[in-house]
Amino acid sequence: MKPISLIFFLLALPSWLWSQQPDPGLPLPQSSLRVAALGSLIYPGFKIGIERPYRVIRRESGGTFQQERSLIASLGYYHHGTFHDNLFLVVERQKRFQWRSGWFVETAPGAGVSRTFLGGTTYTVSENGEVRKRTLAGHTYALVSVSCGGGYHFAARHGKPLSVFSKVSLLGMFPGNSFVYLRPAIELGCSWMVPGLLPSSPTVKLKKK
Amino acid sequence: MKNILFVLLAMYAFSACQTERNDLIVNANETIYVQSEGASMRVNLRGNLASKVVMLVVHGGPGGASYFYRTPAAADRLEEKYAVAYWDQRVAGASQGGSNKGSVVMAQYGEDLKRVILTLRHKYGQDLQVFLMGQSWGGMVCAQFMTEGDNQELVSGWISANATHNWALNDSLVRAMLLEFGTEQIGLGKNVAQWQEIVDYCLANPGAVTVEMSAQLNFYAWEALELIEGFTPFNEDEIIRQNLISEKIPYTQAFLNLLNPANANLNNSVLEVEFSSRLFRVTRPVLALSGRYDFVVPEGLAIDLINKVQSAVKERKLFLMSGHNLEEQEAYVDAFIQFIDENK
Repeated sequence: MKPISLIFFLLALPSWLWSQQPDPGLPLPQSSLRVAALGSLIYPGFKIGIERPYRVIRRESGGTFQQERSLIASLGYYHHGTFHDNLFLVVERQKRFQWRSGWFVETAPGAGVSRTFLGGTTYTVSENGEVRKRTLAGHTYALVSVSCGGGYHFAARHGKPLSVFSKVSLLGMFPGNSFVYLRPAIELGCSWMVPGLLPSSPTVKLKKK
Repeated sequence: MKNILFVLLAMYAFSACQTERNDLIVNANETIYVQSEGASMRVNLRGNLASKVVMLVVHGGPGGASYFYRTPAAADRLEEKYAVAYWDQRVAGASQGGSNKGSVVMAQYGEDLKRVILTLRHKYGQDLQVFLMGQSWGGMVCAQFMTEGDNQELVSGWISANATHNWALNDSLVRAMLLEFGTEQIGLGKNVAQWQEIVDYCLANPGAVTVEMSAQLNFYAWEALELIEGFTPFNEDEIIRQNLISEKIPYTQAFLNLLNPANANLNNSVLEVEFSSRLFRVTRPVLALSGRYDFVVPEGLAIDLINKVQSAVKERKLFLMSGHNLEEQEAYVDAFIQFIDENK
């Protein structure tokens, strides 16, 4: 199956499943394991992390959606041949609007640390002209990220502990040449509420209106 | 157990004695990085390494990129005969680094170039012949390198293609050329309004060139290239668009390097830097190329270079249908190949 067909399939799947099932309502979010493909043009990568919800804001009368706040700790990596490989750790504060239909949109600013590995054999030259090869050469940067996207949570209508999502994100690394390096990326992944994984009991705030 | 230990020790000793395996092949494509004072500079080796001759591209800028120079003419003909090293200077192209603002100074660029050459010779053999090809700002870097100590012993020749080596002289020549050409074009009734603005600015700003004037003259020099009837400047961006995927160009890095404030600061700091008074030290073969319509680096710079160097072999060529971006690509490549053929 071509990648584009797979994307359309993943996007269409929730709608189809939604029409097949009864509505069990909006459950409280639980800690999840997130896995995503992280890509930028032709450069592949991944992001794997744990999402832990800490607050839910919903209307007293029920309503059609709830706000969910989570912290996500992730390990990410991408490979950009001849440029660099980048391994990064990032903690994101996610804000999600979850509708009863199962659909959601989310934004997540984050901060972390990045370590790059240069995309070619690396050499240094001493003062007296001696050339030496360096292994695992690269740079360490402070990292900030912003991302936004949306997806579908199967728990909302089907009681399944799984969601799929896609996001666009921008990674900023400092001080890239005393300035900044920015890298746009696309994430396509899924999140699975693993039973017993970092048990969480998010505080529930009820809004009157 | 003893036997196993012996075998392991023998394997370690064998691997430790091995030198780097660098095949001198005819169609090389290898990327290496050279680290120097907080910068990790990308060098992409392409073409015929078996020739044991490499043309090292010293790109324009500051803050440009070597990606612009891998044109079809360079890839098809130059790389077939010789190897080409596309070097991204510090804070340029795909070069990376951390907090290295303090090292973005003129002298460091000459030192960086020396380290790149030493690395190439270490990797591909001390008998590797290196020819420098500096364009635009790259001429400043080459001049810094060539006039320092015995650096020139490391290279077999210097090609200066539409390149500068004297910022103040460059600015004064740009102003004179804009005035002369602009007045002529107004007389001919061509693009009168645009030329009039340029001529008025040049007339209103005689004397020593300030940082602001230098930037404005540079802006008008690029604008002038668009005003010449029957002449189309070479579209460098098209090279990037065509090669974006195949060359794995990190476009945000190259773009942000170009915008990096350190490059703007460097640009301002080199206003007083000139190498004309040090060019007498150069004895290696020199080829100086210019474009007739190059308002950015006028032909006078090539004349000054050829007049000042002490090289026994020195030559100058003017391309009649070129501006600043080596528009007559095939003819420029012919000139590169001929110069290298004659001086290797």
